[in-house]
Amino acid sequence: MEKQEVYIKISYSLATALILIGVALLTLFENYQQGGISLINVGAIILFVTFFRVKRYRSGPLKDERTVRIGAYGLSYSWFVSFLVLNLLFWIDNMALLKPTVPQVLGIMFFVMIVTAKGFQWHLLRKGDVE
Amino acid sequence: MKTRMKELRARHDLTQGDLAELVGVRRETIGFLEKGKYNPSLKLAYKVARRLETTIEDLFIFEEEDLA
Repeated sequence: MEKQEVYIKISYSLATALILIGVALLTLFENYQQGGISLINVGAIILFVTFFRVKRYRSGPLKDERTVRIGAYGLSYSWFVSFLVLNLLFWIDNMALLKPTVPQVLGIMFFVMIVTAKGFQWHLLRKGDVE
Repeated sequence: MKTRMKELRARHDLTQGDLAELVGVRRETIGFLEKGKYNPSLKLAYKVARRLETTIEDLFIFEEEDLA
C-alpha cells in the first residue's frame, strides 16, 4: 500500500473516531458538552482537509463503478440496520424498559448510521464486490 | 469466474496501474478483476478487452456454476 493511501486511511479513521466520541460525549455525558463539540469540530476539519488533499493529489479516479456500487449497497444495508435499531428503541421506550431522552436517541442513531455505513462499505471493499 | 487478464496484461507489458488508467478505474478494481472477485459491467469488460486486444469471451471465462 502506498504511503499516501495509509495517510488517507489513518486520517479518515481518526476523523470518524473523533466525531463519534464527540457525539457520544454530547449525548451521554452532560458535563462534557464543550469537549464533545470540540471533538466534533476537530474531526470535521480533519475530514474536510483530507477530502480536499485526496481530491487534489491522488492519481487516478477517486471512484469507479465498483466503489460506487459498494457505496450504494453499504448505505442500503446501513439504512436497514438503522431501521431495526429505531424499532428496537421504540419498543424499549414503549415497554418502559428504559426512558431514553431525545438527545440520547439522536446520538445512538448518529452512531449506528455512521458505524454501520462505514462498516458495511469497508467489508465490501475488502471483499471486492457486493455479491 | 476465471480470467486471463493477468496473463494478457503481462503480455502487453502493462502494470495494474497502467491498465487502470487506460480504462478509467481504480488500480484496486483491476486487482479484484484479476482475482475473479469482481464482476465488471459490460462496458468495463469491453474496455478492458479492447485495451488487451482480445474479446470479452476470451478474457472472462464463466463456468456452469458461475451462471447458476
